[in-house]
Amino acid sequence: MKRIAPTLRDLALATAAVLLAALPPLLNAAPETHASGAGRPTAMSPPELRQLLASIPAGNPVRGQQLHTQQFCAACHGTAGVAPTPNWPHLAGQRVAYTVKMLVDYQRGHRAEHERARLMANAVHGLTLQDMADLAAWYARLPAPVERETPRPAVPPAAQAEALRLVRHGDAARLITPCASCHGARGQGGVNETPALAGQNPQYFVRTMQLYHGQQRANDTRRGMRSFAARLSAAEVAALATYYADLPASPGTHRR
Amino acid sequence: MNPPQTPSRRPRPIWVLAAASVLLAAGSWLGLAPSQAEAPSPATPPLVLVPAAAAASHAAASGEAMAHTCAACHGTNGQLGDEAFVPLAGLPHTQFVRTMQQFRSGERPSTLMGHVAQGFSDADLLAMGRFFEAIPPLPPPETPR
Amino acid sequence: MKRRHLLHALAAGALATPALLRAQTSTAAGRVVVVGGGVGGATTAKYLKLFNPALQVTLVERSPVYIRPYGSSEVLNGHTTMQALEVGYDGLRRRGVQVLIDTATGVDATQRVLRTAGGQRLPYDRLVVSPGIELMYDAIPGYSAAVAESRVPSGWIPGAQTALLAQQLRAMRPGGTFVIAAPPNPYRCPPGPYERAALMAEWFARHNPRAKVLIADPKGGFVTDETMMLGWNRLYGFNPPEDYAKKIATKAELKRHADGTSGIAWLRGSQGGRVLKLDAKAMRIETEAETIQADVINLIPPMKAGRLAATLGLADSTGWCPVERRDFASTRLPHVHVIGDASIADAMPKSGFSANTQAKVVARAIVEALAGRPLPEPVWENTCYALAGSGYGLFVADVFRLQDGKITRTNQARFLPLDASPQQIRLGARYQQAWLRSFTEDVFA
Repeated sequence: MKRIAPTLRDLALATAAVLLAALPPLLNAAPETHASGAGRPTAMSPPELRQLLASIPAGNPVRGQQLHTQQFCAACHGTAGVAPTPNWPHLAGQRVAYTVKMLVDYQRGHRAEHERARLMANAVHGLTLQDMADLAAWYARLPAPVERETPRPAVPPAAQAEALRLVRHGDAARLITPCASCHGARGQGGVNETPALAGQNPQYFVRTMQLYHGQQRANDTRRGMRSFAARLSAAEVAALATYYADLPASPGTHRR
Repeated sequence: MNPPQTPSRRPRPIWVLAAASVLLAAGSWLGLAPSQAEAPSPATPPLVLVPAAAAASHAAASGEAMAHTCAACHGTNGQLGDEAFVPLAGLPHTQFVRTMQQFRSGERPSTLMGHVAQGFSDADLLAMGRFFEAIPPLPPPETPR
Repeated sequence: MKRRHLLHALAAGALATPALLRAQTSTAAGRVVVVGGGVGGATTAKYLKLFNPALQVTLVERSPVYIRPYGSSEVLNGHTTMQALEVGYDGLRRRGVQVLIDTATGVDATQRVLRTAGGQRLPYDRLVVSPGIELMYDAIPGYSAAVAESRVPSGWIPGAQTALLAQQLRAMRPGGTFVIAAPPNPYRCPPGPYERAALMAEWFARHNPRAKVLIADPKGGFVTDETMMLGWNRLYGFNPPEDYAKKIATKAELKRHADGTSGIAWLRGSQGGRVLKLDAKAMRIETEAETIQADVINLIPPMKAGRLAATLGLADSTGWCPVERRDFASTRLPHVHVIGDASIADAMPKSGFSANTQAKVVARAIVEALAGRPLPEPVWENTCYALAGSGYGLFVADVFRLQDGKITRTNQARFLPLDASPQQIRLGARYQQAWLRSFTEDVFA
């Protein structure tokens, strides 16, 4: 406010903020190549993502349930899409676009963070886009999880208030947009393929953010999650994990 | 004093907040749209332990002794690093028991865990579950070094 | 005065030497010597330290590097390398095990001392012997260790013979015949010869399509036979014999392949599959049924407990080592335990996994005995994946308890179900790879 003229730093920060916050098509104009399977995984390019989202066919949830059993999804993700242990994420109530994108990411090698993630490459072997849409349609209909059993990470009370602030307002100083702006006011997901987070296993949440932080997971098309995770502290991540785990399922979770 | 012509510190947060508000509003709108009637979310089912059949003709082994038979896949003391199998150290015992029961009954599909689970009674599973729960898990493979 | 004291001291010293030795070995916790650095011995040493870090644990092994036999058939199809089979002993050293690279030559069971070729005399409170197997090459006329090293490898104890076999298979002429002579019961790794045949059939299908794999077998069946044969039917054009076809067809659809097109043939015992003689020079193998002209021969001879078992007097007339079931204590020498392939263990197959769980039972039993506490109830397991193809995983899964004085299996179903889904089969193959690593970690790290 007392500044007389903008510094170069101001200009740089402002440009970065503009790009990050509201203009996705300007980012990553050069499409990233598909991961070869060896070396660092990369993300779908924005045009590829748009094309994928536009081409998801209507899913048959009855068929999706059959596939869930036949393809052994239930073995890790639970018979009703609620994972029996903290080793795997819950899929129940997840948005179709996100589920499909994840399956495609695994199939194309965009996700291969560690051994259990690489198992997914086996799991999606031979799945067609219709299969994926059917599976996703079934998960989307399932009641979202109510997370009670998984131990929460230890979170001091001050950090809990922080979590709420990050969800609703983000942190401009660190160029972190509000989580709710993409993940929904009630953690139900919303923008493009952004996933629902309400009721998600908090240990999985923390692991995911660590993976984005370390860039072992790099399938976020606009690098948003990698950027945010790089700037959040471990305490904040723990607080957000607990916040979302405790969030009750919202009415929007059954919809596409 | 000339007012700044180019974007400076003050306008930037406004940009961000404006964009955020738009997105937030959009998100809320999605949430406010009419939804289907929702089924109640499934609560975690309670643990049901059935006493071993009277025909069991072997004495009870300790939870620890049984747990060590799992180590070849699930890690010494259930502490497993980056591997396809799941670590068992630190797993809540209720989850361990329920998972093994579901493997045993076939409710949860598996390659060989169903067969392995058949070798253990509910009392065995509880003893093993308590053993694993008390062991600190290794930091996950994702932990940045 | 001084001299008397000296004499007294000397006398007392002479008398006390056995007691001193005992005192030395009976440190606060105790001293255990383990002979054999394979799966059984290494697991024992590691878990002894895990259960009681105060124990003095010495592992005696003649080779500084272990070459793992489990998964070694994957060298033959190029899926892994000889180097990848090697495991060192640093993991055990880090856990405080004293690793002595030496060969055990004898034992004084009264004094409780183990002697080594390097001149060591190792006192012990308890001795655990895990000597593995010895291949009885001489049981087959025309076969010998020298022939196995140079012309007709066995490769059942991995090493140079494995590498030789891989080389021979790679160089086999187009349309050649690869004969695997499977051993009679009991032997190490029951599904092993059949997994080896399957992996080579898979490799040949790509690199030598007219080549054939022929298994000459003295037996009528083998562990995992139904699931393995279903895999062969799906992958290599194999028609199971009628008795098997009947059983398999109740649960899964068998394809009927034209005769003579299969990449694998199984000459079972009742059809004269038992090997009578080997002519290594002419590469002819004579079975009860016929004499087979082969291009590459993998002969797995009958086997018995590793030579050390006989040297130390632990084996009986069967060639294997009788033990008490509860703690695998030898019935022939006091304070000595025998585990792994060498031991006679009722229903437990001779496998690395069996050795691994036997080791844990023995380690716990020894720790409790040395502390004067009662022996705990044992439990064992044998849970291993095997392959009918690189993407085709099957398994055997057993849980064992002591029942009526015998080691008995407590689960009903053992094998991959015949109606397993393609996904289950594919996952099984994936888990097999993971299992090789996690198993090695549990034993050696």
